[in-house]
Amino acid sequence: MKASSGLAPSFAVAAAGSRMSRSNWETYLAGAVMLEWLAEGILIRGEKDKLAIADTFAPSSEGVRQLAETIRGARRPKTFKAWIGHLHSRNKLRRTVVTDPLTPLLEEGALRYEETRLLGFIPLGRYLPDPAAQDRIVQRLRAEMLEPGPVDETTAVLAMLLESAGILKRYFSEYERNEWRNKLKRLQQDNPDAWKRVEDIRRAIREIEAAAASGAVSAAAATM
Amino acid sequence: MSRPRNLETIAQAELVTIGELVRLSGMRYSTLKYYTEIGLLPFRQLDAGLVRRYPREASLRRLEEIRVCKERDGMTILQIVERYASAPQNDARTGEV
Repeated sequence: MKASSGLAPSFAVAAAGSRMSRSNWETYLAGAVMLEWLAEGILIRGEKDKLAIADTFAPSSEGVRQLAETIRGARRPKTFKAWIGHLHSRNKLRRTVVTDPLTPLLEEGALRYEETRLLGFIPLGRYLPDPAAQDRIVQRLRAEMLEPGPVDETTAVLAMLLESAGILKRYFSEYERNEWRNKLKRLQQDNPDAWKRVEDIRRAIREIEAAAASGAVSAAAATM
Repeated sequence: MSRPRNLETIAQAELVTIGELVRLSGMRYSTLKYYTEIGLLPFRQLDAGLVRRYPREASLRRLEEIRVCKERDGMTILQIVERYASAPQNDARTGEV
């Protein structure tokens, strides 16, 4: 089985090379990792929807280990949305977490890392998809989302992530997007919990970016 | 490039291209390509150009089976793949369904 068939790797390849900022792409990807953990019972929802790591979970890689230890070692348990906010505002931890889905994708060639320099000196890295690997995921989404019949859970959540991240325009015509949204509405009704968590990723990113923007405005005003 | 065959000829042909199968089945090109990639749709590669040729009757039968599995039995594509994978007599690569 290809490394790009799970939720997080599929999202990584489908959304790579889009107009999303790298930090937002990584936060969605880290969110997808956490959604996989919730589905696998690695993350457990406790009181007031706050998350804990299952005692039996033994991390297999550094990225996974750091996220698990951060959640285990937190002074106070946090909700899914609060953890997404935590990861979005911590570049180092977020980048370590996403190495887990990214490493096999880079090894199999589904993604490649390209480093350029902005204005000739600011290093700027980005991940670009292999067109064939991306095409396979888009074909899967088209076959599942635009044809009648039920959709498996991974594809349904992937569709929700892509919708929430606002990158459907890349792959679908206006007519297809309407069909997609009709089907997505049904999936959201069938699985409201997954949709809420996907939207939590978008909300957490927005709140942090809004806070950063208002902080920058305040700092600029103070120096005037 | 060869000239496109008319629908009457396609409807009688033993082997058809993916584009012709789109015309016969009324399904999306991307869906048929995906079904091929995951081994649900039988095909043969006859020439050096490695153009995939689909046995018309077997492929249309398979597409109808997939439609019934999805719409009547409520199966996801992954469940349908598993169902065919567990049936050893089905060989998608050779077109024997």
